[in-house]
Amino acid sequence: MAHESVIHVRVEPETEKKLEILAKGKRQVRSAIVRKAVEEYYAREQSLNEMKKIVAKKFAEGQILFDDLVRVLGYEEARKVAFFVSTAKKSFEQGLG
Amino acid sequence: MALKTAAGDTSALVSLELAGALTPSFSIVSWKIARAVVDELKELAGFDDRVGQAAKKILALIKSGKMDAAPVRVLPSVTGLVDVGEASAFTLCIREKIPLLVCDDVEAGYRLDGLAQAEGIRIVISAAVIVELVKQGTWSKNQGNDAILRMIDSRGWQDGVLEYLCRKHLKDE
Repeated sequence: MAHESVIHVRVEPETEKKLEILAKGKRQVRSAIVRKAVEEYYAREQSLNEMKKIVAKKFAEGQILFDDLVRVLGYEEARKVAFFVSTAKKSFEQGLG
Repeated sequence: MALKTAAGDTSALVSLELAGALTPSFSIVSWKIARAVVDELKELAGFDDRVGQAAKKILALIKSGKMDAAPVRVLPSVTGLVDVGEASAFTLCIREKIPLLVCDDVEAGYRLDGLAQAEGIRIVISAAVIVELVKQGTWSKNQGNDAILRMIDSRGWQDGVLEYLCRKHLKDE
């Protein structure tokens, strides 16, 4: 088994209560619940990042419009992608200017 | 040719070192580094991976005087917008009238963009430094292309926007 680390996490009382409820309901220790939550969150974030990468590239290539970005990612994330694509394009076109 | 003055945040400096472009950039860029960025690099240097190795090399370059490091008190308008490293690098630009911030953190760049435009600061990604090396004739297009591909590979940025732009701008015909 790989070396395990112990981490300390601050949580609100309400969050601790939710953790207790989950642990009781699933008959698992709190550490197991927290480990699973982190793994699932990480996997979701990785999937989301992969999706952002794909749509950002399609946007940079002109295959989709900003409105399409918004439909897929939501407005705020679409603006971030558009910012990155614009900054990257100018960086390649102008260098340090 | 006069050197261009630029402030670099941690992400950009690491990207350039991984690309093998940081040392060559000294012929075209006068780098200014915020002390908080040095602190972030020290933290990264503790990791036993490619990024950790890159951080160690960058710290050695700063220690040898190849890049200037300075303490910066972050402006209130920037505090809370982004992490302390980016906030310090950006404040350094404002305080010392540095026109360029090289930053590879998309989130940070996005949050700072409005302020940057108001202050006349241009935010670029690290690839801009490599493109400038090619523009100035220090590197060939192929060398620039290879450097960016090294960066993409080291950072896990395959099949993304950078690869597309690299193919478009730096591939020899």
